[in-house]
Amino acid sequence: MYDRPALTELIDAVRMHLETRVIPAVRDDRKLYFQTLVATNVLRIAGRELEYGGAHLRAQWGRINALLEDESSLPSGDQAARELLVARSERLAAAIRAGVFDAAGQQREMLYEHLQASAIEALIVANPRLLQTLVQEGQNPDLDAWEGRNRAE
Amino acid sequence: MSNLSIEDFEVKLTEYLCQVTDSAVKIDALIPLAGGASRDSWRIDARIDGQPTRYVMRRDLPTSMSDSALSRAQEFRVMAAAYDHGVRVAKVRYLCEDPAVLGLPFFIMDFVEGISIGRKVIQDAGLAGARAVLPEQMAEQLARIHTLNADPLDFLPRSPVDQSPARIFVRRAYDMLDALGVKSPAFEFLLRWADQHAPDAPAITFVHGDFRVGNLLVDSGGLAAVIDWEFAHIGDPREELGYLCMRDWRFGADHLHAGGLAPRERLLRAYETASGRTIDRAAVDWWEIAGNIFWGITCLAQADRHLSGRDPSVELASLGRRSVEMQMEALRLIGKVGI
Repeated sequence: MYDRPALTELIDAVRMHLETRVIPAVRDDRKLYFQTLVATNVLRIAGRELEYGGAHLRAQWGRINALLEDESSLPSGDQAARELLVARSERLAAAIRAGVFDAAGQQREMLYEHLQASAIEALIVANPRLLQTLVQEGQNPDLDAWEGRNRAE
Repeated sequence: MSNLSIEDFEVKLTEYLCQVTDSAVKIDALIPLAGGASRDSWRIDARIDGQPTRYVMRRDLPTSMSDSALSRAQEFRVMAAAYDHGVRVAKVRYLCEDPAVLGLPFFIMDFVEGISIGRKVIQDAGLAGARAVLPEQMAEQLARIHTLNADPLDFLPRSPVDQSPARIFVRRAYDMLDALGVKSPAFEFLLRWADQHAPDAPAITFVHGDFRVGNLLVDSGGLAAVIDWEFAHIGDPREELGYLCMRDWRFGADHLHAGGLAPRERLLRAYETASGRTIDRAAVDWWEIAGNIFWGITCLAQADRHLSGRDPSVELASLGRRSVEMQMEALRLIGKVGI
């Protein structure tokens, strides 16, 4: 549709500019240095969202359909799909507050699984390193502080 | 600098110090200190009647982070009370509420040497000795803080007698979400769980409200001073124990539950010894989950400061996408104790 650089490549170009040109030049200004590091991380997040956003949207749509017992199909336009997902996610939030998922059982477990899956998807975009730590803790409970919380040393 | 140039700032501060100390004051250096996103702190190197003196000035920024935070005048009184009670805290000296002086209220306190950057405290090789003694020191300081007589501090937020601090916490968290207009399935689930499992409080005490590595000044001997008292309130002492165990306050040492320093049990036993209280572990679990919920919602509130145009800042914007770290952790912990 457009000439290269593609959107992800534009974002990468700005990030590389910050990392190689700006950060070394502002090292003495602690606040600006820190804020610029944050800015480069924000661009990484934006890049990962472009990569994974579509797949995560479809996955969340399917799970919310199951939870709200609704079989609507995802609108074809990106913007429309996002807006509708937000609206349905807000409907789910209201249902939780109204106590619809209070009773122990399959619906509540499905909700929990949806919330955990959605948090994992958000971490894939926002902080994949934390996700990696969580996976390691899952494989080796000795690394998980919470598992040993009532043990002395 | 809120409309003051650094030169004007120095002149005004010098005049102010001359007046309150009734002495000749010469400021040699003004050094900005690393601090939160809502307060402005400066180290002041001065000579007062020729006597070299180091102070810290702590001032509001134009937008404060949270409505529940104390004013500078209130924080000044809390720190003075903590100092008199024998807590390790900088001695506060002068309070100025006249906006004509530096634009916004501020106070002056003694400078205490030490590192407050959490990541350095937990990672720096030179501070291994400090880390070895910090868990017991933190427990002792908390035990002391929790016996502070708060009767004269009648402005401190406190829950109504018929409601536990845990229930008030849940209600306040809902209020924060609603004020932000956030409709999040994750937070709704977490808060409903928290509400249905909220512990009663066997004791209600003064609490610091933000006690963790990162709000301590640490030197080679360990805990030099407890800082940032703006979230002090009357609450459940166990909330501080759970809060400081949150993953985000472990600064990379995720396997060490108590602040990235030690297993939680070591902290709790030291606290029980120092305070004479018996601590219900399940209540500390609840407060750690609650701490994650609170910090997760606060991240959204911080991002809203940017999004609303009040405080344009990439740093505040980025916090919005950190919220899910705390959501994930709270979900995970609830999954382990039982949804």
